[in-house]
Amino acid sequence: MARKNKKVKTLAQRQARTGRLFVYPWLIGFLIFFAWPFIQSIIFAFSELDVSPDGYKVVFVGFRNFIKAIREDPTFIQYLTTEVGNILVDIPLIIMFALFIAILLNQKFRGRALVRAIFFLPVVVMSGALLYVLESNSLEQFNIGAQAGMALSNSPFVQGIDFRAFLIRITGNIPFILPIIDAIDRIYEIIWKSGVQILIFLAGLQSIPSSLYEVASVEGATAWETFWKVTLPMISPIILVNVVYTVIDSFTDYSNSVLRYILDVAFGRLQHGYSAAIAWLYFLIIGILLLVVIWIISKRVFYMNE
Amino acid sequence: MYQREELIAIWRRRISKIIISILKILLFLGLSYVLIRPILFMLSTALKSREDLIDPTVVWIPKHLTFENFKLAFNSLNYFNAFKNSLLISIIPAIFNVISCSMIGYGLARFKFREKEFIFALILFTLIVPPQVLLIPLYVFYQRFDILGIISLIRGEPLNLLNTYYPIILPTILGGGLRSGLFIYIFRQFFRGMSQELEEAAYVDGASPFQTYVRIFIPNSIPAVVTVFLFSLVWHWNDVFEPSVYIGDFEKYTLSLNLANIKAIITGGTQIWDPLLILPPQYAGAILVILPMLIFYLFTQRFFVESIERTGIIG
Repeated sequence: MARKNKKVKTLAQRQARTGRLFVYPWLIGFLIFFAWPFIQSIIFAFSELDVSPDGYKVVFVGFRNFIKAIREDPTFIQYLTTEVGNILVDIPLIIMFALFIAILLNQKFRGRALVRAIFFLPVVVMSGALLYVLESNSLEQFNIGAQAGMALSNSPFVQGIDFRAFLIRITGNIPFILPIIDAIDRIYEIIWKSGVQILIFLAGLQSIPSSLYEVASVEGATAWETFWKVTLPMISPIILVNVVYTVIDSFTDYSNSVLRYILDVAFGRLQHGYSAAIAWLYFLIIGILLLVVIWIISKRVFYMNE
Repeated sequence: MYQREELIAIWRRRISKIIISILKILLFLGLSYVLIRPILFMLSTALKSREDLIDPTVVWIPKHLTFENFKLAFNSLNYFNAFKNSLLISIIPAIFNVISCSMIGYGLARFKFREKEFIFALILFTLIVPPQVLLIPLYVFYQRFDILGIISLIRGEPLNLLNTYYPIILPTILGGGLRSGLFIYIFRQFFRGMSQELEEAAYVDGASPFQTYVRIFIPNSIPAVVTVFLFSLVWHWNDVFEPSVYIGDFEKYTLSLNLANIKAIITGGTQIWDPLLILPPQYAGAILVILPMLIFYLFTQRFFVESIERTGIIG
């Protein structure tokens, strides 16, 4: 077969060969730096690992690591639920905020360049370490500042603490008001985390053909109707992209407590097998969550070409 | 001449337009304030002396300007050395990312072969796996680095790549590493959008596929190249996770890694500390770490914003 190919090669075959030439280096890298470690980490999650400078020993222990994570470890479940909760709350807030800002930034107005430059600042400046420094301090700082009445209570991330008390007092309805307060507390974080999402939405908005908007305006649609009937369906595939990106973004985020915990277990306490197990648990839960979200959204996604 | 009703309608429209634009300006001012405030706040706190911090009349502009905090942060961060390290692990991967990811993206966008869709699905899959899952296997892999026993054959023993920057740089040569899937995706989208005629013209003139890629595709996709380079640079610069795993030697720490540990460095690891002493240098450190990227962004932001818009990241 191979010899026959060598003799007579159609254009398609030659094309395929050059294509493979360009793509296969990635496959090599994938096998070395991803696929093999990926399989190994499954093995490690089911075993106890003893790493020493001249290699490592693997002792199979079955599901013990997973049982330990779920039944015995007091902190892991707590970190996991907080982080999963955080992501669940962050996704809709970031998507809504980013879409809103992207639509505003897509319009023409004076000073647009400046506003855009400011809004994409987080893309460049935002790092897990920075957010960690800011966040870890704001609360203690508030307490200290409040006690001493110092100017330091003026924290970089203003939390909705006063506002919270006010809202609870006027409504007296805590369960109902809590999500709103939570959202207010998160506003800074949300704004700081949605830089790339705004960029992706902007790119998507630019690719909507202007003829659709012209038709809408000829038909007498209001801006509100245009948003729901033209912009939102056209942008819906990008919402999917942004949901996935938001989740990915949280993986390498230093302020993510699960990830810091995994690092601590692996290199602080040297329980390598156990850390692989909790990393897998985290991945599985996030993966299931992502699948559910994608499934819910993709039913409503509209593709123009289909 | 206009009728009375017409005039009223015209004025009403005009006024509502003005009100909307005022609201918009207010909104943008507010949000811009939210975005810039942490940076300004950190700067102002870092410049305040101890008296200013307890003085309630000082809010933004310090009365007694001091650079002590910056000096302390500068020394705690081990600035020059860490800066050099950060530069090393962000520029080299960024260059490799541009080269390798553009080639892979080109192969995926411009050629047909059976397993293409499957490979693309794999690339997207690598994105959604948290790097922590691969943490331990990669750690032991780099500790005794060897591919198919080749290095053992030459040196007699495998290499230990921990405490070097190779674990961060090596995967990027083959289109792996920090969020490389996203870069391949960007290049693939961009190349797919380029015209068939350009490519055919090159082939007719006798160019090989590789020459076409170098001479035609790369020069015509500068926005994508710039975008990927910037993203890669900035993300590697800000990344704490990978360096914190692979680098153990304080001399080899990067800026963001030092920033994440700056509290421990300043307090010397003690649990009891005075926040008034710690916070200002911590903020000064944060300013010092983001400053290079900030300057870089000021010069490139126009290009950056325009390029990402034209790239059309989406499928």
